[in-house]
Amino acid sequence: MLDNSNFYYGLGFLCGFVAVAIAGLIISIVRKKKNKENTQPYYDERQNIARGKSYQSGFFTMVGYYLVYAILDVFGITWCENFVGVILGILIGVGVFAVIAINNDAYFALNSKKKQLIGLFVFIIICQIAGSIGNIINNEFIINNKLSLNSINLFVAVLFIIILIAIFVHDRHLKQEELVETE
Amino acid sequence: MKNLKLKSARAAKDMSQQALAEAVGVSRQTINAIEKGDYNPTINLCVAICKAVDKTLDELFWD
Repeated sequence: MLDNSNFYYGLGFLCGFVAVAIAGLIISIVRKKKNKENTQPYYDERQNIARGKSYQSGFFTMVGYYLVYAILDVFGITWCENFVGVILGILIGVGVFAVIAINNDAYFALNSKKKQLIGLFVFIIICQIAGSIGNIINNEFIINNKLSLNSINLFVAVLFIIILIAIFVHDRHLKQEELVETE
Repeated sequence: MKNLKLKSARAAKDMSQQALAEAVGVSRQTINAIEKGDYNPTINLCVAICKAVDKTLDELFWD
């Protein structure tokens, strides 16, 4: 049975997803009408293969995580609320995919606006950290010795920080590689 | 195995990896990977590269 706070949190979560989906749909329709050319991200053949391998790694990491999570649950070791455990698995899978794809230069499409996307990631990190600080101050981070729903903000922030670090490290490596190529 | 033929053909046309990548519609890293022998391109990409550097498939991709 859901208690009231969980029900409203879940409802809020669902509303957030629906709002983002509707906003995304509207933006894509407007962009398509304004710009008749293809706005779909374009990856070259090597990038597509690298992305496939990255997805595979992300997927198997996620499977491994859920296996460990399920085994711990069988032994009665519960360190977080179920919802947090599930979301954490998704975040870990996405993180593994992103880092491997970035390392193989297959994360950003050839026609993507990288700086805009990085700006968006920074904005997401700031929002999530702000939310986390509020939750920590209000002692809503850990409830009944378990990570509560409110801890998700921090994990999302950590995921995007890891992605940003991977992007900057890879860009540095590319710059060095370009220097070698021009010499 | 490194593709030195491609590298020299590109250099002969005074093209950077970036310029060749833009000419054939791939990323610079893809051209770099082909030259280093880390990636085997499809026949379509091979043909596009050959056209961009005015060489034949035999000259660039056949030992």
